[in-house]
Amino acid sequence: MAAGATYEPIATQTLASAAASITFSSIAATYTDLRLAVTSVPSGVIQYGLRFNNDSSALYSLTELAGNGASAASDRDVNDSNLWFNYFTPSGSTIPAFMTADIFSYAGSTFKTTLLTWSNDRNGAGNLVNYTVGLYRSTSAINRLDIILTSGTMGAGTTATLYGLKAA
Amino acid sequence: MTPILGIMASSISGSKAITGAFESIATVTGTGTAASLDFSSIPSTYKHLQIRYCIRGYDTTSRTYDDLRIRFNNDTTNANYYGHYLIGNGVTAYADSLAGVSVGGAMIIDAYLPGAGAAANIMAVGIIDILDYASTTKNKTTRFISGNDRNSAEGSIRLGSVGYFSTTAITSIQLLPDPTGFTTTSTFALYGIKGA
Repeated sequence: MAAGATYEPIATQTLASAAASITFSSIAATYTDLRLAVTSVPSGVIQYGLRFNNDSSALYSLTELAGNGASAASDRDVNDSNLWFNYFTPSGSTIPAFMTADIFSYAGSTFKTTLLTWSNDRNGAGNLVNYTVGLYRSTSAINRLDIILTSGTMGAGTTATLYGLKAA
Repeated sequence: MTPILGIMASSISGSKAITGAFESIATVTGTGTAASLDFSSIPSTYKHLQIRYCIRGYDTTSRTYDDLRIRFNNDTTNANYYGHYLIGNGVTAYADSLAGVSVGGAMIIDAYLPGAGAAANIMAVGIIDILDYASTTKNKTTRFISGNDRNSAEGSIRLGSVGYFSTTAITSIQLLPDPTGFTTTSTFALYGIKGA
């Protein structure tokens, strides 16, 4: 079996001031999968979304599993204009949320499926952990990612890093 | 001098080269009818293994849901496998468990793979972490996240663990479809994660 280094950072963005979105564009098709890691303080009661190729048509859907410290729940969203990291809307907080997205076979010719996580613990004052599988019904290669919000902004200091994973 | 990750920079010595800690080992691709996709001769030089997959079941009966199962070292001993799951199907969150005896000497990773009867181009994805796989003194624990969404039809997201009750180092992994195979658009990629 051949082995080689394969987990590479593509780009990192850190917000110097509050912003409503973060964009990664001109993503090369040279990797097998993409991985996005985000740490962000929201400005209020908001949901974080992920959009591909700047495509806002109703091609997105998701299935979510969530826990709030007291119970577990599952929900679905169909024919939406983006994927939600946290389809269950949290209460406002100044504690950072951590999000990841694993985008599999992003340059392939089938529909694109993504695993998303959203974690935010507040020491008993409202906690959420979300695991989500999202579908983007497009056979086009993904070359752009946008992190978007339902409203408000992501605070200064928000960081987003995009990695590429390359299989043998 | 400012400590760096708990050690002083001046305390670092030796000539060991710093290389990537996450390496690609091999990739296998579905053939349609192959009853198993295998990683064999896995070296013991890593601390952990990770499998990342983007797959779809192949069957001749247009099933909506197929299975992905895992087996280690070609070991078909029923008592050596157990699985636990936390599952969401878009309506309900629930937990489940399975013993190897009910799965034929292997363990289910995902029982909701899109089969030939699912809408075209829908794929299931997942990440399986196999911890301390080369240990010869400990049983092996695997954790995973797996799922697929189908927009208007029921999909699933699941977190799980598979216990493999053997102290033999894992040198091969069999990825088993049920009932038939994986499509030619399916891939499993095996990675090795190094320890310090």
